[in-house]
Amino acid sequence: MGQESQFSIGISSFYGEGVTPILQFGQSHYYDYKYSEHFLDVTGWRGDWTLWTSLEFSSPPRIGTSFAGLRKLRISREGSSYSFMVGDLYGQIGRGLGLNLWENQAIDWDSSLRGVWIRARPRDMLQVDIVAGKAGGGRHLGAGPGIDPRIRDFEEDETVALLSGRMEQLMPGVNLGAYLMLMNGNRQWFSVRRGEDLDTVKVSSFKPGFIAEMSGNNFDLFFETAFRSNTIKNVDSLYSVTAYKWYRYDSKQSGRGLYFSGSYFPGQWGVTVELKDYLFDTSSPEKRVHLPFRLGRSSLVYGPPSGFREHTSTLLSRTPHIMDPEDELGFQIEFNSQVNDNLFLIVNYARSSRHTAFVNEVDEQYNSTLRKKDHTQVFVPTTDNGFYPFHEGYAEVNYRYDQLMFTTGLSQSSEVMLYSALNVYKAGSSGWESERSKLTEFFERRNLISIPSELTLGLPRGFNITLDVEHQWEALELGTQVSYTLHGENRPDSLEAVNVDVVPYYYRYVALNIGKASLFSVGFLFDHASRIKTGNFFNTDPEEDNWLEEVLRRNEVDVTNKWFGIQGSFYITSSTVLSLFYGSIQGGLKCDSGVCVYVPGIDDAFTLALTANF
Amino acid sequence: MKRFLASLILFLSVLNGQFGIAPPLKFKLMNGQSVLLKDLIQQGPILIDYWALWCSPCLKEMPHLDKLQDEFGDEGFRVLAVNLDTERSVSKVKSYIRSKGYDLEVALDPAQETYRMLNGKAMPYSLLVDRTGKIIYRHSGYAPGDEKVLWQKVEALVHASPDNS
Repeated sequence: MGQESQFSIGISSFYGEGVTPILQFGQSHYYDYKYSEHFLDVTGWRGDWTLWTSLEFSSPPRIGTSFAGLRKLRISREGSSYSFMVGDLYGQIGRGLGLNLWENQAIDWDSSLRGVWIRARPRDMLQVDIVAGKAGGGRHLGAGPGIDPRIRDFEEDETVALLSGRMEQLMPGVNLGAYLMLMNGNRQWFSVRRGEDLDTVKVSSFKPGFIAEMSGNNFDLFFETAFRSNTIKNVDSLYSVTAYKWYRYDSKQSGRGLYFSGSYFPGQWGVTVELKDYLFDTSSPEKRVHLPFRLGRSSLVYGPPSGFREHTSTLLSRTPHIMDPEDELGFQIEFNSQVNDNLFLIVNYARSSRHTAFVNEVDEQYNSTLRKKDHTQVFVPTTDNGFYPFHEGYAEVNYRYDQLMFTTGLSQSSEVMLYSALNVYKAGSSGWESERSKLTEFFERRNLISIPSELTLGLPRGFNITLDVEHQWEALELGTQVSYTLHGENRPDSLEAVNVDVVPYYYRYVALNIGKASLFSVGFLFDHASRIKTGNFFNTDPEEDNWLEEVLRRNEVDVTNKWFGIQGSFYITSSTVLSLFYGSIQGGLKCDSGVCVYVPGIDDAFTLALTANF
Repeated sequence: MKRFLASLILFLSVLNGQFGIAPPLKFKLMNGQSVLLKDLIQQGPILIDYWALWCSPCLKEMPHLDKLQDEFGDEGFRVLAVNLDTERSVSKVKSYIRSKGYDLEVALDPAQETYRMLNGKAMPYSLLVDRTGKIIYRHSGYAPGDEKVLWQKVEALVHASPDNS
């Protein structure tokens, strides 16, 4: 580790070609979907100085926008009592209620700052961070089948300045910190009725935060809170091109976030509790649906803990809880235990809801307004449908015996995905009805039961088999509830039948891989949906079969609503892996840390991925 | 395409091993202390392993890393398991490690700073570093059987002459 210059290189390269379906009621379309995405990361250093660069050549990438050239650049120096970085910055202060700079190209998310980060330790106990820079980003108009995730409808940026101080070991195991952030954002929205012109709204925010940590031999406590006050300049209304309607937006807003985590781990078991209560923006559902994005939301660089279990199994990861980091409260409890030498157990329970619900009120003169209902309990979510409640219970068993590893889980979850309510002042013209208001609520609730399982078996001579089998049942409830409330009262005195239609779906996923350690693995994938939500059927036309589907159909395999693929991974060196895939990939949501993007499926695809580092 | 792939494979094979010195890394340990890689390797060779709670192959590999630590720990060898969980799951890391009873040194890198500097691309990502800071072996991914190759590499390094290891 002398003073001579050194380099290391990382390469990742992705190529794919196929077609992607746009499934719509009545008819479906296919269009070519190709991607070619290549990255070259180079790290160079001399002494305490380090240079990191990332070059990208993509035209177009799998998702996101095309780019060719120097994507990231950073110079840093690590001293004994200070460090500084200039260029593209990643990192967090606390758990991200203030500053969380991270990137995940698989979901086209990048909240990194281009600027300066100085960290100094003027005393043993004191750490000071100064961060200043600019974040840039883009937004899609919506997310779902048919939306091209390679086109950004809106661009936005934000300049951020942060000063943070942290006192460590004030008492044994106790750290305290505080930060202050100033942010100026430029956010686009439609400016002209029926037009495609975009205007820029300036949003200025001021955000102080406080952090407390305490840890001991067998416990760990963390608390963070942040307050935000923002001003939206030069705007009093916004136009929605989808609703053909103007919406008024408050020019001043304030909000706050609270997060707590506590872990206790005395020995062969442990328990972790997380509490979250984020209340930065409570826009009405119309604004959430019809405006390009929420101008009042906290910041591009805000990324708090999600506070629920984010699964990695294929089917569970497709049906995540859709978190709202601007308006969500809830908790998560996770227990784990090494029951014996072979058995490890995880049990998790999470529950959350929003702080606000909206009811469309029609008064005596038939004027319509949105009335906001608030849920005021801190950390304790409500189960009222209007607040989009979510819960999940999950249990996982991991069994290990020599070269046999078996994991299976059971997840039961329920989430209200859509809700609307109409409250009419006079329920009707009869005597009884005219004294009461009538509240009609519509909701769509998704109930899921999922069983992911994975078996891995090591065989002699370095061979191994992995079998991944996942089942998921979905009961989609489409419900209507009508209730009557006497004028002047708060609670309904009569409830009409609650009408719930249940639409069942089921999904299967199987992947079988056979390989030899550090040499290769080959596998077969099977993905099946009982029905597609749009009502279409996938893979019904033999003329559009790829050769894999052709072979299966010839052998009387029903390929309707099924996706098949074959894959292979080959180690060129111990850290250079080439992966190939042929077949069809189902599209779906891809999420990380509460951020979700719809990634379109590719049919009749050939894909190639290469990763290497030196 | 075949010619391109063949050239690429040849190019990568030639490159592999040419860039073998670890950069000046600083790790934040799970107990809150910070430590420099150059200080760590003065005590003996080290295996840096990047993992996360959501990475299933990583969790399958960890018992083998713990065994390596048990076997060669007395000879100065150490495993540094660098966790890359972000704020979505970092609160569960200590509880997991303690419940499992692992005797590994664990560092936290939620911003993936050191992982990025080592150009990590796929997890688990393991790097075996000798006392001079030279990266002896890199490996991406885990499948049963990989631990045997790793064991041989560690054993060879630990039992090599003290000047090298």
